[in-house]
Amino acid sequence: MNQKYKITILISILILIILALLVGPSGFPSAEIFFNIRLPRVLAGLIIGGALASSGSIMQGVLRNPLAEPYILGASSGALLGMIVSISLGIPYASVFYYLIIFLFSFFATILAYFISRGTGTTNIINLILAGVIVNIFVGAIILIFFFLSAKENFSVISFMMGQVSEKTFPVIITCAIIFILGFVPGLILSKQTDILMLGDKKATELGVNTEKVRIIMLLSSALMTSASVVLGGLIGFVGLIIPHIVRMFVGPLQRNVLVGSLFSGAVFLVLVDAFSRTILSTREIPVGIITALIGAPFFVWVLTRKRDYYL
Amino acid sequence: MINLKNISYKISGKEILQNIFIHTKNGDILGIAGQNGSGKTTLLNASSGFLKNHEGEVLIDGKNIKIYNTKQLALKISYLPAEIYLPYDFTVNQIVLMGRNPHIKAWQDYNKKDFKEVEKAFTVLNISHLKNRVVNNLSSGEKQKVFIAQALCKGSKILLLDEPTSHLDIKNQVEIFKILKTLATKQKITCVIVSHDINLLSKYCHKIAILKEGKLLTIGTPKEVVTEDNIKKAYQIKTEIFTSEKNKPQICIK
Repeated sequence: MNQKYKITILISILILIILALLVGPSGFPSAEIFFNIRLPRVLAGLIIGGALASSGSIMQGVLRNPLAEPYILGASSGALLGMIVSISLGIPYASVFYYLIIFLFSFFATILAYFISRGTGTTNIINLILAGVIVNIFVGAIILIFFFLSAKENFSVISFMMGQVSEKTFPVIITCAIIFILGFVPGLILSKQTDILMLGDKKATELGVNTEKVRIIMLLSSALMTSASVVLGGLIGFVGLIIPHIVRMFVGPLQRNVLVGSLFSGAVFLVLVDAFSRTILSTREIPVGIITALIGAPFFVWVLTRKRDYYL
Repeated sequence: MINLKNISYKISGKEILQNIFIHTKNGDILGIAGQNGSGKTTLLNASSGFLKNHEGEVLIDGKNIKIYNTKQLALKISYLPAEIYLPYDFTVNQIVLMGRNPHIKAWQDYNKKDFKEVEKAFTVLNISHLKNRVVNNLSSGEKQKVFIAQALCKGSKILLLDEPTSHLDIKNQVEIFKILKTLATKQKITCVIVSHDINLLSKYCHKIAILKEGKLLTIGTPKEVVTEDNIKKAYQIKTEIFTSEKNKPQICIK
């Protein structure tokens, strides 16, 4: 891609983000609405999208699997369980503990999957993915029990499952941004090692990479970013899966390029989709998770069915 | 220089390797043959340091392999597994450059010297034209050359290869062995090659070892090892041995 092309893309993205800041059900915002509703929402959208796409790119690299995504080791069901626990304990929505519990459950679900897979001695990727599936199924069953036992429909849980960038306060957003950065930086530093990890453990060891160490750091980094996104936006599918693939088509498979590319495109993508989801119907908002899945699935089919020898 | 001293290895009571002694000199080409499941790959895994809980000692340049950390060992030994799965479309250039990883710190970028070494490796293996191709789209022969280039670029003096010619046609098989021979003579790289092709091993190796059920059946020069008797013991098949013009024994199935 030449310079002119890049600048055009950059400027159009900026214009789109500014537009996203301005649109909403109440039309052109007053200063109050802008600072209390639109701005935090766009900021949250940037963090959610960037975090999901970055974390997805790391999972796809470390697990050596193109179908991996941020939720594959159980972060999503962990978060959901955390939310249900908070509700059951009667913790008020939007208190610090409410978010903290969601974050911790989401984070530790991923770590739990890692330690289950360690049970066999050394981690093998298939065991790791299977452990994630097991964590997801088990926690899923607990969540269903909750639904089954609670008499009334719990709309906040359902909306959490569909993913929604609803209004968050600045302290929550800033905390999540810090957690996100804590996850992103090690992921970026170790991206060269992650590339080598994609050759398999035997080859990576032979090339001087401490495979266990790099893997656990990268999983922690991914878990931190995913949990931050879940706290802010609930479960939003497909961003973490497709964005890294699209980026890879443009910049090639080197992890550093994919990670940085995913950060920016994920962030912009989610803000735009969110702007779309809150303006397309004048009466109510469509959960953003539904739209990302609707756009993502057909696109992914297209990605999967093409083969190429050179990058774009 | 790599020496194996009394290597044994068990998995849940089953002896995979038993009391293996192997001695090599710098620039040696050692061939390892034997039936499927006779322990050849396990032996390579032990020699490369990937397998840790075996008995006995692996000596690299006279020192126990366990005193080296991952990075130091990477500089000593290169290992080419039989098959490498690449989930994404890395180019030849990117893969060969990974060979320079043990020379730099985790957070550092590859520098001019690294790129120079990559170019050198490309020239030695004559694959400069493949530089920007995607490794997953290459033929098996080309792929082998790419990974040999990676090992070369790393600069280690011991090269372990697990069935490097198993998917290749005759021309490519010979080509790979010729490359290894050149590396051994010119750069004094010790090559350990696991292969099922005894004729090729006999033609190019200084020494051949044959494994049978985890034990070293025999080791020596091709002339000493490739005999009707040994082949019968190792593979339970009858063969005739011919001697080529260069005085290398070649087997023919009866």
